[in-house]
Amino acid sequence: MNIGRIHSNRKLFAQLVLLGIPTIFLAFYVLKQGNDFYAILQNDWIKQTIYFGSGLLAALFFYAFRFRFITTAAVLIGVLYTGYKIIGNVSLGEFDAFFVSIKFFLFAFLFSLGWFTGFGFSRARYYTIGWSVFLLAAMILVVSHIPEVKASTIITTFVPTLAYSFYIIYMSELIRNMNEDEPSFAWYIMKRFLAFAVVAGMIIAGLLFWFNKDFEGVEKEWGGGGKAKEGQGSGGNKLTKQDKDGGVSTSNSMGLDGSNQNDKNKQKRLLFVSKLDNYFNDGKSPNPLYYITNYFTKFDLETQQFEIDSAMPYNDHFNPDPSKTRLFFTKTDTSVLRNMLATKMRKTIDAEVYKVMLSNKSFTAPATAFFVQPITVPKEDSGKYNSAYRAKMNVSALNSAYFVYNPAGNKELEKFQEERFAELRSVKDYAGVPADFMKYYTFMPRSAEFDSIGVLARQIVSKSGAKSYVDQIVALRSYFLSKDENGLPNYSYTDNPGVPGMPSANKLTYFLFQTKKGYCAYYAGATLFLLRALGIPSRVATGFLTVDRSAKNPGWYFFYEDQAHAWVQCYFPGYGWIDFDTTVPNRDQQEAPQPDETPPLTMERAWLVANGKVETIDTAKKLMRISMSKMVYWDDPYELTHNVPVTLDVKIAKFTKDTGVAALSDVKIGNEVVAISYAEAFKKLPPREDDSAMGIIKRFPDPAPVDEVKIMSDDEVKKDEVKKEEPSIPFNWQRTFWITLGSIGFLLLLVFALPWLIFRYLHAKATSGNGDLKQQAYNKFMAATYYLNQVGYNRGEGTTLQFARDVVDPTFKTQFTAFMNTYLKTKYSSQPLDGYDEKIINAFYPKIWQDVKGQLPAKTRFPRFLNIFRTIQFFVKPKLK
Amino acid sequence: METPSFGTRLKYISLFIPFRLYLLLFLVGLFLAKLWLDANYTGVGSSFTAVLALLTEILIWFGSVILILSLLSVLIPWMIFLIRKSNGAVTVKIDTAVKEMEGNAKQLVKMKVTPLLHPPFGFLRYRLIYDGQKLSPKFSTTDQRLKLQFFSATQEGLYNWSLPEIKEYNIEKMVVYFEDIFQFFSFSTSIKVSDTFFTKPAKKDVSDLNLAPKKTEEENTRIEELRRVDGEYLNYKNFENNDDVRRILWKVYAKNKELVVRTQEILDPFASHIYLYASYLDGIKAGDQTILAQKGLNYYKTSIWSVYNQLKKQGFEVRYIADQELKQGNVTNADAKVQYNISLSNWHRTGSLKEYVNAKVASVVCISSLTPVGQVNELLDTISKDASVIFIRLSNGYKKQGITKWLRWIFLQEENEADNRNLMQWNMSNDKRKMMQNERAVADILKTADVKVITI
Repeated sequence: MNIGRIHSNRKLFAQLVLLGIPTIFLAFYVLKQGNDFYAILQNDWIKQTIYFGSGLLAALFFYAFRFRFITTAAVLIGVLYTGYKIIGNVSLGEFDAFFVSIKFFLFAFLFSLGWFTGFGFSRARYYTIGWSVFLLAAMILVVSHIPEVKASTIITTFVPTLAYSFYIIYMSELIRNMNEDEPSFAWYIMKRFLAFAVVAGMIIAGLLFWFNKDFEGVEKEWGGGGKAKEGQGSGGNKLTKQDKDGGVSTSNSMGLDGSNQNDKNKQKRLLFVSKLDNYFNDGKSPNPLYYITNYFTKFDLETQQFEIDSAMPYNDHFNPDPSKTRLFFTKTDTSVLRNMLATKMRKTIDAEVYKVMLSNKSFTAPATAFFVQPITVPKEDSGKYNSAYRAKMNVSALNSAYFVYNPAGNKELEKFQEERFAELRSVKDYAGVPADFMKYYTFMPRSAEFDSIGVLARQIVSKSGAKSYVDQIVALRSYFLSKDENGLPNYSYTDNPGVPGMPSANKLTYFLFQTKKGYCAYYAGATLFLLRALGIPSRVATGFLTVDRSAKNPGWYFFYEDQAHAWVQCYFPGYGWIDFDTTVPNRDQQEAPQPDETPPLTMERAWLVANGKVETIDTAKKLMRISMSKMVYWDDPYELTHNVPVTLDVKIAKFTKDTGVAALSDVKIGNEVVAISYAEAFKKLPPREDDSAMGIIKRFPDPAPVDEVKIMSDDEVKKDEVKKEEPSIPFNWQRTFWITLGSIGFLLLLVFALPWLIFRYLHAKATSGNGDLKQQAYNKFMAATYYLNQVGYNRGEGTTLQFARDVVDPTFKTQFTAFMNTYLKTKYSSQPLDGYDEKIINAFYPKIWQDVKGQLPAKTRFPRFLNIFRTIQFFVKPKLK
Repeated sequence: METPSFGTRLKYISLFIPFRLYLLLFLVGLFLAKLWLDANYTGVGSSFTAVLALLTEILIWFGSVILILSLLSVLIPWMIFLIRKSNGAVTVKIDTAVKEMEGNAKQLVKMKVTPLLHPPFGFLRYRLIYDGQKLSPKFSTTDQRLKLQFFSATQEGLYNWSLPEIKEYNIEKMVVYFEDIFQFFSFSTSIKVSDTFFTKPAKKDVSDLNLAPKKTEEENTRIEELRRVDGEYLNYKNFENNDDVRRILWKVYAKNKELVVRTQEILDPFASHIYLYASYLDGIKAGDQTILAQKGLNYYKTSIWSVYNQLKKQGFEVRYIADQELKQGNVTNADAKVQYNISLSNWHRTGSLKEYVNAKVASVVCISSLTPVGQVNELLDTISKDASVIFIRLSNGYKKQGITKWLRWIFLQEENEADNRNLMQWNMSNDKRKMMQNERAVADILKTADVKVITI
């Protein structure tokens, strides 16, 4: 059977080389990116590219012949479907069958996608549009999930797709339009290819240049800074990241691994030092708590990952930016106290955090923090610590970092742990917990894969015989610590569990059932699935594990970069969220305790913080009167309804301004200052229950002793005001759309209105009577001929005199010919103009306009006036023949 | 020229829409993509939304810049061309030529437009409007310019126009399309051109035709060359008043003072010519069917032209007798005249075979399946026994649909899907039955006829 060709070999070759190969390359690239995000892909991008590519190339070749698409594709799909069914029926064991058929499905999907794309390139010209737009949108989504927000990474991931999308539209059209008889085919394509590359390159470079600031902005705000240290290299899956300001913050992505183990020095970087006033019942033994930065609560079905969800119900995450609160002023959010849904065994404690490498913007504290107050770093330590804040939190007495860290051997701790379990065993069910809360925190997707996790969870629980929820949790923890028949642990800790990247659902399944090796995020994620499968509300917390290493300074904890950690929290009604850590100890790590450094000198507590404008300064008595506008007293902020004059005693006060140390002489009247007092006098004056701000101020000693005065620069004052403004809103599609539409509309309107505007101009000139008679005649001539031209009477190829005589005057009964004679006289004759001529010229213009206007209905004139081509024609006068 | 229908007019107007479906699809695609992205946009401050917003913005900018550049790249050359056109500065030259290839002829259109700026990175495409608002496909020409010449105000190129019918075409207008790099915009303008050309029937192999020429001519020609003629006085006669004085044999006069003239040599009429008759008579009134009007007619014309050529090749002097009045083309050579005539011929329903064929002189009569069997019968009765009848079965002129063909149709897209439609229509029509009946009847009576019959 002779099967005709649709595309010649030449065209086919062009399609293979210019469409097929770039598409396969891009597919490789996209799949490689996608593997990081979509669990189903199982990190097998090379094979996947081959599937896709073979489908694409086969289809390009196949459809160069005259095959119909629908019938042939139906046959293909039929074959693939049969294959899928057969594989599903051949019993290979439950899990294997599942994975094999998933693999086959993936193959079938990618091959068909390639096939379909090949067909699109070969035959369906409109396919390329859909393909490009789809790719672009998909790539935007994928890139937006990028774990390491870095300008260069975003650009290098996104730009190839952007360029490809437009390239493919162009090239497929080019090949389609190619004349088969073109003799110099290669040159033709080459020329255009180069031209496109140059133009697209220029546009992209221009855009990148233009948007450079925005990229940097995004990077600065969200990313691991531009100055990121080399060697952090493959990063993107670390708990901590470098900020633009050189600080380290915890990354927002849950992906963590220990691959940074390679860089031992970095692990020893001190991030922050914290004092936590949490003690056991004896009141002396410090009880360390985990420091939290984020919660991962929501399982994203699309990326198959847990995500931070700021819309989580009963949001008890207090996450202020301490750098945005003015020194010693406070920020409090009491809604978290309601949302934590806990009343039993809670206490409010204080913590102070002195940042070393930790970013100024970061906030970390044990759960559940509700208060932050930036404080100054003691002068002696100012070189060591960048900034500091004080936080208050309502913690559960049942939480303790010791719960995880080897209570074995320590009788006291074991007892404590048992007491806690006993307490939590009282929780029998989740009745009374809001339904939406339960639904959200026990959500787990349904699929064969997740069902197998549920089966495992129930197996573990039934084996241990655990009845209460807390015992079930302990059973899960014991499961991870269990040993096989050889006495070797089933699960082990590794910094490099094979494929670096974020543990997605699929990776967690692999970890649970196959590799059994992972780092904290793997244990936390897998435990979360197991817990949720058992119906226990839970979430993953990330932050820092706290190690008590210092006997010298009880209550002081040092946090190094390798203490970044992830663990789970389970909810117990009445008790709130309780930390559980299921990560197995790292046996390889030499657990050498860090020789902790000396903590900063504890700051005295600031009882009074006053902010106001300086009114008078008495340098002799060292007194200063300010009109106070804001005040924080005993940690409570007071907004004053009006400015209150307060006299301050600044004898012992230390003056500072943003540039450094200052003195009383630097203070000018009218300056904005913040005064801080640690004085005993205020300590003795606690605010009463029913105290108003004025009531407190009245009881102030006069003058009020202050210990520190910070002179605000004008910039700082302004910055404070600016900060109150709305944060920059994200790019507004709608606005851009309307603006674009509006400008296009305006341009169109302008184009259509141009003939009329020109007429108005000429008309104004003709009727103004400016200039000498000759000039006037010319103006009138222009206006009249233009008007006539625009309403459809142009002189054509004759002279204007002929036109006036043969066309205009007979049609409209005007005096155009008489005027033309006079006009030509003004133009070519040296004879002076007489009164008659003047009369003719003056009588001519407005009249002819009105005559013509009167004789042509508006509906004829209007559309003709819209026609810009007539206008162009008028000004580009044809040559007289 | 009949007034074009509303549909034709609409189609004609649609040629001048300045953007293409491509652009609409692109915008719709972008809109859908935006909906998709919006659905993913949580609106909460996170790196995801920040990057999403930024990339979306870049996408919009990139798209807009490219769109605007595309638009400008066509708008400017188009405007320039319009201005030049209104100034009468544009010249268009269209030449049509047939390039004979093995088996089939290629209809080449050679065109030159100047001045015409090529849209940078874009495409220039053309469409010819012929025979009363019929449209040629949109085409681009092969580039005839110098290879390294990027900018040139002259466009020159060749286009291989595959025309389905063998007939004369009148090109009336040319539409020039300025299309951009992505084919989003298509600004067009039409230019009046006028050119006429005809597609020629191809030659196909016809087996040797064993024919006898006929005594057709009463030739009365003088022998131009003087030669000695034996037998004095035998061939002379005395000069008479009406005789041509130039024929007086002065030699004889010199001898015996008698004015004699040589008598006219009267040639015996001899079998010298083949008179070829080709009837386009559509006696059964089925020729309106598209399949016969195109494929059938083409087949008939090609067959006749091939017979004509075969006869020439065999050394006969062939006279082609046309059966319809047609204009004489601008052709000189006799063969070209015949070809032109064949090209322009069409099925007709006037007259009869008997009136057309001069039974006395006809050597070859070509008839088709549309020639009514009754008329063929009459012809056979009158025609001399040494004449030949060539029966061209139109049913051989188009593909038939069979079971295997159906299978093929399911999996394969034929070159011209319209053919398939026409064929289907033809298969279901009553006319087909009529024609096949007639064809069989003609074949039957030709079997028993005592003239030579050739079936093609």
